[in-house]
Amino acid sequence: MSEKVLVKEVGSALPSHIDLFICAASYDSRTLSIVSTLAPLIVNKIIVFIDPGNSGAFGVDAVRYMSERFGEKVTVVEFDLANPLDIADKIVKAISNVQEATGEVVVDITTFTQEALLILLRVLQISTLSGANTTGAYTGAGDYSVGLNAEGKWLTKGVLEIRSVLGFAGESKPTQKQHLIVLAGYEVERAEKTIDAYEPALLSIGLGDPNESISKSLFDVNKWFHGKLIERYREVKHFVFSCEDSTHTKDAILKQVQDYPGYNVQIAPMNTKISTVGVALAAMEDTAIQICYALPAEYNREGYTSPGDFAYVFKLQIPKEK
Amino acid sequence: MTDQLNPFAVQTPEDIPAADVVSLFVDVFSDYHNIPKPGHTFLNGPRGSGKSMMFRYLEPDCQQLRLSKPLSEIPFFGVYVPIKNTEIKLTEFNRLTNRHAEVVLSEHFLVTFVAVKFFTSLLKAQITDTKGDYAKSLREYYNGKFAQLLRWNGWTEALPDIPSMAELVDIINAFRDVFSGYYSIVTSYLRSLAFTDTPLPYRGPLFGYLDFMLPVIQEVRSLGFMPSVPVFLLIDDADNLNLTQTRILNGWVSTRTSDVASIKISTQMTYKTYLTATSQAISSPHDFNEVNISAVYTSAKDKYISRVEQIVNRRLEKYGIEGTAQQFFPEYVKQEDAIRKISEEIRSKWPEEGRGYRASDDVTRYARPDYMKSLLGSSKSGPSYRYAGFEQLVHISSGIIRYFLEAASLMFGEMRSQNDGALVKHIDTGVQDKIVREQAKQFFFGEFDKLECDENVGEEGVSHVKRLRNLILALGGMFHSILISDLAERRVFSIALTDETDEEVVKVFKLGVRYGYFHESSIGNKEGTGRARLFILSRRLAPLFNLDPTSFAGYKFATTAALKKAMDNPQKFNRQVGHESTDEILEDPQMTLFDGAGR
Repeated sequence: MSEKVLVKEVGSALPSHIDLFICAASYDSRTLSIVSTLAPLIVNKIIVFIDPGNSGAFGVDAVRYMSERFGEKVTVVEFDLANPLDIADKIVKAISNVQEATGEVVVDITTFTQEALLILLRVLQISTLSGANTTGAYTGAGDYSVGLNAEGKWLTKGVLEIRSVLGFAGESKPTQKQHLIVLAGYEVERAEKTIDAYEPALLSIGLGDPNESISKSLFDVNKWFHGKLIERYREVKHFVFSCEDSTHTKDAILKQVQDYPGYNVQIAPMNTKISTVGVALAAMEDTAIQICYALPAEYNREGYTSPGDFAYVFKLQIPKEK
Repeated sequence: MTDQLNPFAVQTPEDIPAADVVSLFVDVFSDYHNIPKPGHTFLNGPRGSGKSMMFRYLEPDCQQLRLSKPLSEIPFFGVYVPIKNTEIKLTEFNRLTNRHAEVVLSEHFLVTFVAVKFFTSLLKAQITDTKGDYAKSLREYYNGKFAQLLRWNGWTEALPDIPSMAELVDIINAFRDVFSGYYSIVTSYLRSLAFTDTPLPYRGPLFGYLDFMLPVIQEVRSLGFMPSVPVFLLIDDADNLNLTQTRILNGWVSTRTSDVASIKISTQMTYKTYLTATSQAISSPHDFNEVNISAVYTSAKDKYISRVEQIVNRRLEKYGIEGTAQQFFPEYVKQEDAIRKISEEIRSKWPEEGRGYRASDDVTRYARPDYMKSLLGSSKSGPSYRYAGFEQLVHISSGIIRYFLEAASLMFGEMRSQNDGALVKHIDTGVQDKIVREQAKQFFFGEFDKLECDENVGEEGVSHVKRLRNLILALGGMFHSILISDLAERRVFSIALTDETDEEVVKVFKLGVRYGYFHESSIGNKEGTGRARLFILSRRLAPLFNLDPTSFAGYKFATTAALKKAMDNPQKFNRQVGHESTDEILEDPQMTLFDGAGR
């Protein structure tokens, strides 16, 4: 269950003492929303991941800000977002260096890419941090693709490659057909390219639940994009999922999988990072599920999002590896 | 709202039942004669050009139905092997890159995948075994030679028991399960590699194509229920293999074992390499035959129209709609009457004013362009050219059947909603025109936005995609100017290169070919000493530039220097076209292209 609080009051929902805080620095202005509210005294260690080639000046400045504010408690880890092996190796190494931190761990999931976040969650599942008390935190967006109307909004352009997410290869059987589940967000092109690349025997397109969306205006945008997808692909199974509660997202996905048994399932998460956590949890529970990721060619660095007023704090209950 | 089914809805071929495939599929193998013959073949064509449907049609269940013959009498045994995007191209494979085990394990993985598909095809064939003889011989093979072959390939565990009363279908399923199990062993192993860069021991069997797959095929084929003909391994969308898997498949092609297994590989023209794992190149016609779908239909448009007509007629019949393709997609009568009137005028004036050898030549060349030209003076609210009528729609689909079917499907949906419950018996010309215009806009503007950042940046920091967009704008504008000119040949759709001095220009055209904006062909060069590259603009763009889509005939020679300038500034190029001879502009690199703009 997620707790929704004002960003400026997020500290009240987080543990009073944090042994390890994990976050990513990117061009997204939400990078600092949560970490800037933390008093240096309550945090033991911060690991901040950054892809210098992809984070823009804002990401670099954000790391500088954290280093100045938290001093030597900050460890900066550079990774290459285009290379999933590099992402995994750097995360594994960074986390193996802090294995004493088995107490309170907080992960600000907001500004990781979907792929890096999924890999991080898998590493958390198999590392000694799996025994920690882990809390997830997420800053909602005030707006996406700031300043543009629904039709003109874009977060990413182009797709360089569609690949399975490292650690979520699934257990496909060559005797079965494919069921592709898309958690639609605001990126029609990315979703279309993914669907066209698979041409699945069964296609499910999920829409964010209006009652569990970050805001009414974001739901409207999501619905508009969802409509665009439905227009193109006729034989589609519909479902709704939560954009703000990962456990609810997980349940919705597992139900969608169970409703159509006997397929190899691929999931393309393209909505909020909280729903991406839900996808990871579903794939950890049902290890036959594969998660896929469409690597964008370009991000809307100028106006990706504006920070919203609210943050979400939730227990990150990662199941033991089966 | 009627619940009338859409006859043009696009379905994934592998999910279509054999009876439907046989009734819907139009036999195109007279155009692609290498495909149903023994021998390795590459079938290259853009997405939607009908490759998967061809492969589905070659599967034994369809062939038995088509020929009304038992399995043992069909001319080949097709095994459909669809390569889906991340099904076998798992990211975890990158952990093995440049390690010794990579090739061996990847080959084993491919073999188990193909083996499962082989036994799936046997299941689909629904073999009759009334006396149980086939079940007996397959069970003996399972317990005997097959078990021994497994041991030779490193698998010492016992196979699951097959009860003595098991039927043939159960035994085929047992084989499928065994291979599916081996496949799972590899995926489990790969999963274990995800977060370690230390090599871990692999404890499963290792199968190769020559020493395992082919012997299995040969043995099963010898048991009597399969025809004694080559097995066709129909590898669909092989672009989705990773580089190592591609090299392994090329190694299979290089083996010259097509009497046992002929490998038919379809690609969307982004096949990664033609090298084998040992870095030997495979080539055509030495190792395989090659078929390029768009090249076939670009050079034989009547054949394509006839194929589409058969496809549409079959669909209309299957969905209970009376009439022919031409009746279902009628022409705009008022427009065609006006064109006929112009034709009569041209014919009557031909003895005095004719330009061609025959009156009919002039009618074909000038009647439609003259009509299109006559509409230019009318106001925006006045009449405009309508892209309607079956043949015009086929021309606009530019040799790719899915483009026709997708547009037809949208037209049907639009008519169904306009009809307010009544059955759709034809598509109004206004609906035809609206949909193809929307599709042309989407193809150009929508697709280009997507491509813009997928591609590399070329010289001078301008992306190839940007240059391609400019080139299309320049050529589309120029072709329209030619259409409404008084030139002898007005229906120009193609550019022939007089030189290849500027490699960048050729690269941009090639990019256009890859994304379907151009088709590539060749033509005799101006000097008569050889061939020149010919790039034909996709007629899907005809509605965007108000072009006549019904002909490929006209082309212009151009220097790469002139085309480079068109790529840099299409607006200036088109302004120039309005003032000077197109031949001068296209063929003289020293032209006053930018000096005279605005004169």
